[in-house]
Amino acid sequence: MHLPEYYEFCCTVKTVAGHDVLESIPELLSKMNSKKTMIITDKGVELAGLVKIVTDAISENIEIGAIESDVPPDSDVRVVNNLSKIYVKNGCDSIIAVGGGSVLDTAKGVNIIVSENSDDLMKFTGAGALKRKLRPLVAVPTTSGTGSEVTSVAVIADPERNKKMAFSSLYLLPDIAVLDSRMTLTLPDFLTSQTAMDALTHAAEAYTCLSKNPVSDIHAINAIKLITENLLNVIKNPTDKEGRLALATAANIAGMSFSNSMVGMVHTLGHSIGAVCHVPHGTCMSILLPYGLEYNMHKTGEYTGELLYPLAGDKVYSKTPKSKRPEKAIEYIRDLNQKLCDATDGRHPVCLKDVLDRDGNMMVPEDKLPEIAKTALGDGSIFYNPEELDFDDILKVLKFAWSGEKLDRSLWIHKNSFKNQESL
Amino acid sequence: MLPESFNFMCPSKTGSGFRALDQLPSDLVAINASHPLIITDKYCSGKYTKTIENAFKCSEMTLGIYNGIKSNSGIETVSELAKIYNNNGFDSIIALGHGRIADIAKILNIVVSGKPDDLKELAGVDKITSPLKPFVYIPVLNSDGREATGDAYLDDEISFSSNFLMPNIVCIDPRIITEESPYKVINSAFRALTIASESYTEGDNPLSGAYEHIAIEFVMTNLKNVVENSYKEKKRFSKLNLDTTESKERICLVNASIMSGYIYSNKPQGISEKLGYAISKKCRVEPGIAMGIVLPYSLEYKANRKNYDLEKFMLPIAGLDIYCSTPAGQRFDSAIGQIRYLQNEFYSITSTEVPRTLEDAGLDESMLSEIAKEVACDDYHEATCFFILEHAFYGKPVLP
Repeated sequence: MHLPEYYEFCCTVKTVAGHDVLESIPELLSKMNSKKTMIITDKGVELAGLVKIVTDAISENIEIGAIESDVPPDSDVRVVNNLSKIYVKNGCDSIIAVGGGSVLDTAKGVNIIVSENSDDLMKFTGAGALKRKLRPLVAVPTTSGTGSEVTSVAVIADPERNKKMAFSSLYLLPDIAVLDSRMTLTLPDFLTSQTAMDALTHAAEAYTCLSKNPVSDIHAINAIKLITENLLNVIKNPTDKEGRLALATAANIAGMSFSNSMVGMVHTLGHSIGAVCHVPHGTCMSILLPYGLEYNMHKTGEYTGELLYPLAGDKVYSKTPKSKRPEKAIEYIRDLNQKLCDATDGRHPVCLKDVLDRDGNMMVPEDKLPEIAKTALGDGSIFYNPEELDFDDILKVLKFAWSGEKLDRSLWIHKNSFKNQESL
Repeated sequence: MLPESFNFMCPSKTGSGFRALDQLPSDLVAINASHPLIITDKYCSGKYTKTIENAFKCSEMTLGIYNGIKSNSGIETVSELAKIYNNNGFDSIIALGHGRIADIAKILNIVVSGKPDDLKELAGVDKITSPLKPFVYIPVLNSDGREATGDAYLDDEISFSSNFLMPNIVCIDPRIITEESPYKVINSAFRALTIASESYTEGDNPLSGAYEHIAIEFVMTNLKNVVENSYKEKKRFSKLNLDTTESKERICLVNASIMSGYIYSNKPQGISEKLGYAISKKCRVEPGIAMGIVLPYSLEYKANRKNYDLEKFMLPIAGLDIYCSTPAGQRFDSAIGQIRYLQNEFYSITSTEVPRTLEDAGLDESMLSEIAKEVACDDYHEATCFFILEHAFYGKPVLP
């Protein structure tokens, strides 16, 4: 097992997982001295009937002070301020966030304002601005991908300044994450596949990138194993409760893994495609993951090779010679993507040129690739990638990911060996 | 398949490795602490407080140091410390050392976070309902992991158990992890191995799986080398040369102990752990060593008589490559064989100081039934406990 010279690991969230665990929320909130809670969610979650399942589970000892579903797809400081006023007006003392990443980010923003008794979220941007524990926050994820129920960051947009504000503090970690299989039973197949591949990418990058550590490594291996053993079954049988719980758990431990070890170029490129072309994050992750692993293979092939075990199982792992394991692992990821594409009637695209919007238009035209590459150079995750990337490197990788061809690693052999010699 | 429901929580941040102590001042600032009181004993203060003071030199923090903890320190020490803490405006506690030091530090934290006369009312399980003052734990090589749990013992009658007693930060620094008697190291490591193995083989909780896996693998990979190195005559310990394999091996063992503390705080005690404590009261053997003796037999009972499928146990015991290349049907026996091999080696390396069986440990055979009666519970009836103990007494494997 890889033991870095120094490592840190922290996830203070209590995760409660199971098929009927929403019912434990009242007791958990009572233990944190909460009496009146506010539910923050979005319209989609409410329309899917998921909020009702949560409210039905909250009966004794806890009063629901407000249910607010006014969260936009990107968290927004105006919504945060508005929800904070409702929290205070209704005398709430805790929050239950029911939804995906933006709902949780919004809830984290509201919790900052109401706990710090402030009216200016801007005071708390950046790392380390919070110095004390916030009010109780319970996260109930309704997708199995982001893992934001166990991450200590929040990104909230400020439309007036046309800026996205980042908040980072261990105090932003929710107190409780509740993973209940009922919350993802109705998630459509293509969203199930995208979000699961997002989680798989968190795990694979955490395992192969620069800040890996023992705890993040084992969480990563276990997350990938849960996904590969359950994802296709769940796509075929959406009401498979055990499979849904496995995917929710995988996203949770993959979240713990990457938030303690950082991610690399798959996220660098993915964030940029999202920013320039508005492609869903999970779609970018699933398409780009094989390319990221291929690009870094001369540096982290050993770790990529070890991923063959959770991807393909012990028999394939032991039958494959060590030198062939990295390529085989990547082959398994491509194969999984193709099977997901087939199982969702093409709504899980395997290359960038096949990503289409609702009207069937191409979302990533080839002429946008240089702009994406330029944007990627400014993304923070680029520093945690094992191999350096410049504009030309990124553009070349993007071209392969656009067409769906395997990465031609020979294009980099000369340059990478040069870089290696330099580092020696 | 996953269980119907499962949960896990570890409120502690772990920092481990090269110059870990240097991170501590900024970690303390992040939890709003600026004036910590270090609690330790004379032995640790003589060896390590200078290193800690140096780590804080560049910060603006002033440290207090109390080095009067003894093995029998109790409520009087807590009261004395509470006065020191309050009169000098300390705002956080750092426990440096093992066992008693952490107990007293945790109990002090209850006192200084509330009213001193509340103490007895807060004894028992989950009576503490809100966060206490910032608490840091700095382990030494023979820390057995109990320090990182939510348990604290004042005396035989009064103890406390709450997640709020777990450290906010555990700081594992090789400069503090130096030489220790092999017996004590084996005791701590076997305790960690037992707690992690019993949890790993009991359910399939993916939330605790990483901690269990790492604790098992770190003990199995590093314990023998650490013990052998400590026997090498006049070996120059690498506390000055920190970036060495030996230093990393010791760090791994402390990681294993600390992780066993996190696991312990999330699960009921396993049968080997309970038997280990009961055995240690009846003969001159430390609890961790006794747990290690019983562990292979209780796991064999689980696999061969309760029909648990424990082939996966070989993964953390032997590592990925050996696990995958071993046929599934051989994995569990092979894993147990590796634990037994380690124990037999220690019997030899320590010139029989570390026993292989309960008979070696000097336990009177007539005590077995008494221990079985004492430990019996719903999952393990008296007859079952006796059966496991009898096999561990003679070193006789539990066959299917």
